[in-house]
Amino acid sequence: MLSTYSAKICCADLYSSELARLILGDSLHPGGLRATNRLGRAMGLQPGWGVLDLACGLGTGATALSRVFRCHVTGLELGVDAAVDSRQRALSEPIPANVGFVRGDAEMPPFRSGAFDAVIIECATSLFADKPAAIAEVYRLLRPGGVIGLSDVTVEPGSLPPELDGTVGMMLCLADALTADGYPDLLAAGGFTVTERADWSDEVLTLLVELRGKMTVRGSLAHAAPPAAGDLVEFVPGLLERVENLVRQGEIGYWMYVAHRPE
Amino acid sequence: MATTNQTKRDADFIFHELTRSICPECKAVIDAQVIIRDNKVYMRKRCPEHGWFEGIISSDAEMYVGSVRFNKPGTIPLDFSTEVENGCPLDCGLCPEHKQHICLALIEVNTACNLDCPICFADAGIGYSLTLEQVESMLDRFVEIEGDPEVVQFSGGEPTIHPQLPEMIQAAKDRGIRQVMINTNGVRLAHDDRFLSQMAALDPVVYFQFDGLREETYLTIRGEPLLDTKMRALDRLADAGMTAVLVAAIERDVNTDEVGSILEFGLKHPAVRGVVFQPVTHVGRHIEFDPMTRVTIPDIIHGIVDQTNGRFVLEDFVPVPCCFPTCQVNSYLFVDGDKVTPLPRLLDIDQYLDYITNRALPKPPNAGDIQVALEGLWSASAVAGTARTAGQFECACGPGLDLPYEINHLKDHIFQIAIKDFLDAWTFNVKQVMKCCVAILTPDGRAIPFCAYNSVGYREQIREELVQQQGHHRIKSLSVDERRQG
Repeated sequence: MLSTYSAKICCADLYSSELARLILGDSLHPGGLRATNRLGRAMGLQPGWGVLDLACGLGTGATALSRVFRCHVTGLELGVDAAVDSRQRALSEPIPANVGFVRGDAEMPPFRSGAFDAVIIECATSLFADKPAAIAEVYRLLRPGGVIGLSDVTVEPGSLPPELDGTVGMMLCLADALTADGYPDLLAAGGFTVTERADWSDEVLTLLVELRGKMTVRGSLAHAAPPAAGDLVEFVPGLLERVENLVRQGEIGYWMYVAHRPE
Repeated sequence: MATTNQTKRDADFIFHELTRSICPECKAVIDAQVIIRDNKVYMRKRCPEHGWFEGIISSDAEMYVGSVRFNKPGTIPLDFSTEVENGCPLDCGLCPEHKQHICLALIEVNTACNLDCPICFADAGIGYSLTLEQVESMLDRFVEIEGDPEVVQFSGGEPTIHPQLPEMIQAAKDRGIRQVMINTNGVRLAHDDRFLSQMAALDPVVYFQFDGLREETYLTIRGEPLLDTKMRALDRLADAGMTAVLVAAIERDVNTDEVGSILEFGLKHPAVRGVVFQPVTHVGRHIEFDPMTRVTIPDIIHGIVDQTNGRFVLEDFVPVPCCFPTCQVNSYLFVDGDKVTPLPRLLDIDQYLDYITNRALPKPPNAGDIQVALEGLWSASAVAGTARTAGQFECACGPGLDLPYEINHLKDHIFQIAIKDFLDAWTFNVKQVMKCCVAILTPDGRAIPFCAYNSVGYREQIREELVQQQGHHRIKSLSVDERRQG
């Protein structure tokens, strides 16, 4: 059994792996940049705001948000390579982006209280080991009246087949995901006022259909994937079908929430 | 009236259907008959004011009629921008009666151009130049109506002379639009190092005007010798690691004999991943033409077959189901050195894209996935030289074909041929426009089907409005300056 911290590192590094990129694209979550933009609009991001992208992955979303909404975005990421890569990538962007990257633990973010107007967490809350602590930290980081936008995988209780627990489930953000009501409950318990929630499960279906297309020829994935993931490739096709069915049955979903820290 | 001959006579044509079109003179919407004569398809119509008009719409009736079975049910967009008021094609934007969403959206960022071609459907010249903010709001609206937008193409005028084109490309990418293209004559790419490296960093697919390999062709179509410039630009794109699709405007007696050599050239050039042949559409500026002998899709297919030493057969070309299937045909080739294998020879595409006949043949267990992949390839949103297209090709072929490349290399071996026949006032058919999936986005939030935009009068109207608006801006900013000086 890995310690919590090394499990987090492992997960963060897995997310910056070639395999994850091949499956998910650069944005590492269902809906990609489109979903990031939708969340930003729902949050009402304003030009000039300071925005924190908590567990920002490769920083693609943070960079795009800074340009689309004319905000200053800080990306926080635990993965060693991801944070360095993101910084380098941002520097070489052809169109300047008002974005910076910091390496650190999303559950212990190294920023002063009230530093941000908005915090965005895409497909990462499900991975936090101590979710209430992470949400309490977001509350601390936001100015009064600040907004949090959260999108994540949802799993209804008892619906996960055994093979989706453990590493694979972790990788698909399933193992430690909350229910569709779990996230707003978590936010409310942390002192936030939830102002919007929406079911984006269609995005997961789109992703799965595309992924199935890629998997029809297993070879392409096997070529690009690191050898260690070879085993995964063996049983992914059957797995995808099961996940797809669970999404269609409403057992697995993808939801977004917007909440405010009271004034 | 006395008639001496008492024997009834057969018409020399088959009456195929009645549709609606527009008068080439006054653009009024009028009834039109589609008739078949000598295995060719013609449109015949009468304007109460300007009389009868007749012109060819397909030089192969069998192909034209046969394409109908590739008509895929449309996908409805998330939102419409206009209401049904006067009927098609006068309510564009899209209106709720439109039968298909937008696969490919164009943004004409300016009207100015660094060439002055005798043939230019956009009638490029002095006019307007969109601001980055206008383009951003158009992209936002496009995302709103599409949800998951496929392709945006920046066009003009000549988009590469717009100083904010790089920001516009980035804005499209930042919004998660899957593929961004620029439509260019290549002049700036041929000569401007800094611009080229900017484009290489943003990496849009370059939709590259390339009308032939003879200098006379450029003199006729573009009004100046451009062959060297074109070659230089393509070589520089290859050096920069960028992807280009050759786009050839084909006109009767100008370059119909060059379709084979354009294709062969494209297959060999390291930057080129596809060729799009477009019969010249007679809107905007065009040279004199005969509506009865103009170029149509079958002329180009036959041209390719005849001019490439037996490398291709007619069956390699399959109608595109997302738009109306008489508008476009595609083919895909797997290219390995000198060996070229058209995808339609690797699997029976009819089996997956025939939506009408629905033949009950045994299909493989993953037929659904293959159909999805083929629909991706046979779509106006398929972009040559992308990993997505390569992935769809691979999926369509299935494990039966052992492609010796992984996906990032495979995309360099997949070559697209598209033949797209845009409508003008002579060939305009409301039936096709109603299912059009190529649209021009306008700053007021509308998305107007490309052929309606060009033929019905939208282009002129919107250009006038934008010029007026920018005139006002200019006057306003001038008065601010004057006040400062005062």
